[in-house]
Amino acid sequence: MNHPDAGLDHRCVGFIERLSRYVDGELPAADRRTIERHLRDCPCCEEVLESLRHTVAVCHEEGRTDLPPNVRERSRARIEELLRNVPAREARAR
Amino acid sequence: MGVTKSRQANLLEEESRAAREGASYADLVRAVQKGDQLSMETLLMRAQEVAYRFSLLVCGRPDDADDAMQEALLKTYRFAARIREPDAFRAWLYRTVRNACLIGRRKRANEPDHLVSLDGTGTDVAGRDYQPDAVDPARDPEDQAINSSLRSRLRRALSAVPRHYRVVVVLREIEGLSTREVAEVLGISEANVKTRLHRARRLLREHLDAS
Repeated sequence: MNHPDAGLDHRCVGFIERLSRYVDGELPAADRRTIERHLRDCPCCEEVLESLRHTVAVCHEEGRTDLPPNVRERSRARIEELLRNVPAREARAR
Repeated sequence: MGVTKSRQANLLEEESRAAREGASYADLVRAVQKGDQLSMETLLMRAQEVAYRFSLLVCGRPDDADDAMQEALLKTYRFAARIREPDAFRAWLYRTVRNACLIGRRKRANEPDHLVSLDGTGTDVAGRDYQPDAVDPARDPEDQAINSSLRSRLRRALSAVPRHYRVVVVLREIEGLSTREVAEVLGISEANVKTRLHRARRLLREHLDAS
């Protein structure tokens, strides 16, 4: 299996952590331009950047995943049970 | 005429439900404080969703999810009506869920850290089957298969990332909290959140690429 980092030389290593900040738009303009110049000439770093973007996208997708139906059903049942017992709870609190 | 009115009522109800689903935590809390029962139900469901995902993705303990969900449910019910700053609710909820998971972990201090893999199946505390990717008959089976495979890869990769990095990537990337909210939940600086996030992404990417 080809690992995207396998073709990186020592010059590229310094870019790796900055690529994450680059994706988040946190780098100053000068650093951003340096990275963009490097990316044009370095297919390995370009591949790492794509892989990083893919990782972030996969995480975002996970956050949009619904609960499994059986878990959702149990969650609804818990809510109904809690709200059904509200008058008794409030009476006890008084 | 009666049918038209009924349709209109259904449409209004549907719009109202969609508005609640898309509402921020703070807006839901404000509605709860004005006595809106349906917003309370939406908030209680979200609290359980958060607890479920956190138990699975950060703690790697599906069998702790029920306890964490129950805790999130009860505390949200008690707290939502009286929190003074609705904007602070979301960070409070994640802190509550994190603490519930930590308590579950301490109870099992003598057990191995990764007793159940993040994409594994098992039995929950009540003896019910745990089904991480149960099939939803309402959705396209092919889409479900692709998503299920992607989720399994992500969960395997997450379980290989150290917990103090994993929690940051879950809160920031999966749950969508801001850097400031993550810092509040974990009690660390925003700079530390960013540093951990960048390292976590790198580790996660390497594990995802290797899978």
